[in-house]
Amino acid sequence: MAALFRQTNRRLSALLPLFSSIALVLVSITPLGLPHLNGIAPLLAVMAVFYWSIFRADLMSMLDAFLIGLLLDLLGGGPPGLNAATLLLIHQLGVSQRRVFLGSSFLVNWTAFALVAGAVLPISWLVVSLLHWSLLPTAPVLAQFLLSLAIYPAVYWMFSRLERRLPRPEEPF
Amino acid sequence: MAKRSGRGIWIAAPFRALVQRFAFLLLLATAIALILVGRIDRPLVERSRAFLADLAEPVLSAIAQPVSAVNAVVGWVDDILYVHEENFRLRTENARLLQWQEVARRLEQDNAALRRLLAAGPDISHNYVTGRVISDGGGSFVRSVLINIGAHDGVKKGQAAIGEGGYAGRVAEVGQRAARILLVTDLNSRLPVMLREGGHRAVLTGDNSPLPKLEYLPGHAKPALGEHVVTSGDGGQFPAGIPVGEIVASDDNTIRVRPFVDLGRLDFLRIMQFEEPRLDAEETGPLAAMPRHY
Repeated sequence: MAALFRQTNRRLSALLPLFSSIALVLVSITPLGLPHLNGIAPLLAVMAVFYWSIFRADLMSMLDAFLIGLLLDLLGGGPPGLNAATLLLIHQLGVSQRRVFLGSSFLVNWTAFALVAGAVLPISWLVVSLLHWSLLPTAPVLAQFLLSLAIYPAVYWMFSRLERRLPRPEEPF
Repeated sequence: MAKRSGRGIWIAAPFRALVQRFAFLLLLATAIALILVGRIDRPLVERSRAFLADLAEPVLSAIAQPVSAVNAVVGWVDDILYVHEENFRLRTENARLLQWQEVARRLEQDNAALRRLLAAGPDISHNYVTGRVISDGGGSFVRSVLINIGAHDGVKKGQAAIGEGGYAGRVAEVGQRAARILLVTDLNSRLPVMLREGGHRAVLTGDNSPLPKLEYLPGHAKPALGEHVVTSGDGGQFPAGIPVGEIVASDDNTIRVRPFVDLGRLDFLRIMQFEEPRLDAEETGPLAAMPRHY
């Protein structure tokens, strides 16, 4: 009985990376109504997939990243597939470069996130501009970038607390 | 976990890498295909969105309530910071409005008297359903919000969403319990409007900036700064005369309009249920009811 409970607990906590990412997707589309921001939210889903694909790639598959992106696309009202593609690419980047990040300091991680966000936003801007065949305003993109950069330490801290509760990986990877 | 390690035993590492690579390319291709399909097959995308919005509505509604309480506090702090300025503005505005009140009372009496003379019926009244805003786009590329009412509450595609001050947007997608409102500032928003003075028709075109453009205005119409823009009612989905915004100065060669509704801080929206008695109602009715996807 105890073994069964432990097993269930283990399986449930293995879902934490996915569930925490979905929770952040929902938070990022909630109307925060902060003054002077005009509905701009930080790139919380990007943070989630970036973090988990580096630190617990075994619990965040590329299908997870794809589905998180699709959820954000469909609920957020943007072009469907855009976030799915970006999060998939971020997942791929995180998994392939994880050896570099695992031993490095938070500051390196933060800088890397800045580079990722600094690439994701202009590319998305370009794709959406091409889809509508008109140049979109750039100010909100810049605001979203700076806001994301400022929020990232808090999300990182939250995830690292959460990570301690996760079961250790069974296989060396 | 057991599944993963189990798979690790019988799939050799190089082969697994190959499968991973293939899966990645497959998913990426799917995402890109989705972007293209999204441009071509709007109804399919709308249906999937409405379906997912229905599923997420209870969760989003649950989050939105405490968030809006926190917002109220933030707004309160913001108000305190500007209390002196605000007080001065309100006092001058109050003096001006008292004059208007006099005028309005007199006009109301005149109007009632004239109506009695004409034996005219009362104005067509509209029904409203009010919904809470449970989600905004959250990104910098979309200007739309989700509200927690849908087809179940009588919301239909194309109806006008009214915020505090006037027109906020129109219903773009409807689920059973949730609906998406395309705001007047969105890139895809085209709203038939007219100038309140003179009644010149134009189209208010969103471009994702806070100030939508006024386009297709007749050449001889020269709108003054601060002039009000109202809906023209063309299209028949909602009545003419809903306040939309005022003309503001713009640096480029376009005429821009500042919406009366503060679109960055939407809390509740009223959906106007408007049935215009029209001759071509038969024409739009069955078409709208027909399945659009074959």
